[in-house]
Amino acid sequence: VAQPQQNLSPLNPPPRGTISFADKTKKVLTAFLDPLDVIGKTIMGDLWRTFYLSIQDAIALACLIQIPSWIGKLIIGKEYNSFRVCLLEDDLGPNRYACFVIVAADFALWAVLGTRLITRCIQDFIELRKTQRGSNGQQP
Amino acid sequence: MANNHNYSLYEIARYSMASLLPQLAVVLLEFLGMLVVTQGNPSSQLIQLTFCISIVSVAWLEWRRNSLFNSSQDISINEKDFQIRLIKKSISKWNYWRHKNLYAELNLQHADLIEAKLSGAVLSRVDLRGADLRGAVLIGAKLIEAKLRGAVLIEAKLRGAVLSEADLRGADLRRADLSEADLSEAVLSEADLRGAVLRGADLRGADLRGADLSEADFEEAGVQHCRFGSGSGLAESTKTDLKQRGAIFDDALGDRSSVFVQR
Repeated sequence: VAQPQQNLSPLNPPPRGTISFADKTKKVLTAFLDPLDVIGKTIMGDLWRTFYLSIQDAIALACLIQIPSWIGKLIIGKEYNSFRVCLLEDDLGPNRYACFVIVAADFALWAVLGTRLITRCIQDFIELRKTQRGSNGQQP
Repeated sequence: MANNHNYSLYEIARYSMASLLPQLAVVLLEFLGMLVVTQGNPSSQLIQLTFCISIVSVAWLEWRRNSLFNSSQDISINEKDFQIRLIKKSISKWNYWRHKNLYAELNLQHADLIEAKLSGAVLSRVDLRGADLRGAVLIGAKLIEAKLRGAVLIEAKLRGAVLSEADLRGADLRRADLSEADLSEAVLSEADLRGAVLRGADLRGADLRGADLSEADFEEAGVQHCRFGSGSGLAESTKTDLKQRGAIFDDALGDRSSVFVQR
């Protein structure tokens, strides 16, 4: 039976007692991440979250890009490392386009991963300087 | 962001993941564009250039995202101040933050938003009681079910704004431009609408009882089932016209002056 659509808003929160799959996932992840956060902070201090997010990015990008690339390599049976290699393939063959996708995905992986990591570090450094200035200013 | 301890690791991780796909899509689109332009035969310089552009675009997106996230650190310290600062800074950032914080308590009570540029802002269900919005530009803003009781909206530009079911009791709307605004089911009782422009506004089911309507312009306004009470400040000809268009006037209370004359 089709359920009537509810307009979820700050005024109409989801009814209590009904736990959705998203809520369950959140509970499981929170139960795992909260102790991990405590341990990480104890070991690495403020650097922990930057480190964690970089690892998370790397895993996510590996799943999004590298695994399909590996599958592609398995199917085609060839290694593609540059666009130049793609040009050696037949103009009308699917391998040429698969090669472009694989190489572009490799570029995207490093462009996104590296840039996010560097940007995050620079912003953390700026925030740290701001905090230090603030704490110095408060001192008598 | 890493030093942001007001959020749990789960929230930060989720927020970080949500931004990954758009950034990845941008980079892949840039490479796709390069391949299309060069007909699948890019030069090494062009690949380097595309890679650099990708880095810059990802850095810009990440910087923008983290700036917004870091600025929201102050939420637990002073949520109201944070929200006022955010809405004054950028409407797109405010709308984005609202979208991400659907269940946040939206409190802009007594906020100083004089002449603020708030066109297109999503302010639905926001508590703006007593806020000073005189001269504010709210063209096309969404203020559905917004609490604007006692708010000062003198000369505010609300053209095309959506104010359906908004609470505007006692609001000061003198000379406000409400043309083509959606005021359906809005409560405007005791509001001051002197000189307000309501041309083409949708006032169906609105409550205007006790409001001062002197020199208010109701031309082409939809007034079916709109309760005007005694219609204070309205000329008889305007009242007749509004009645013909479906407005409801409270004849029991009626025009007090005529009651006294009869006695």
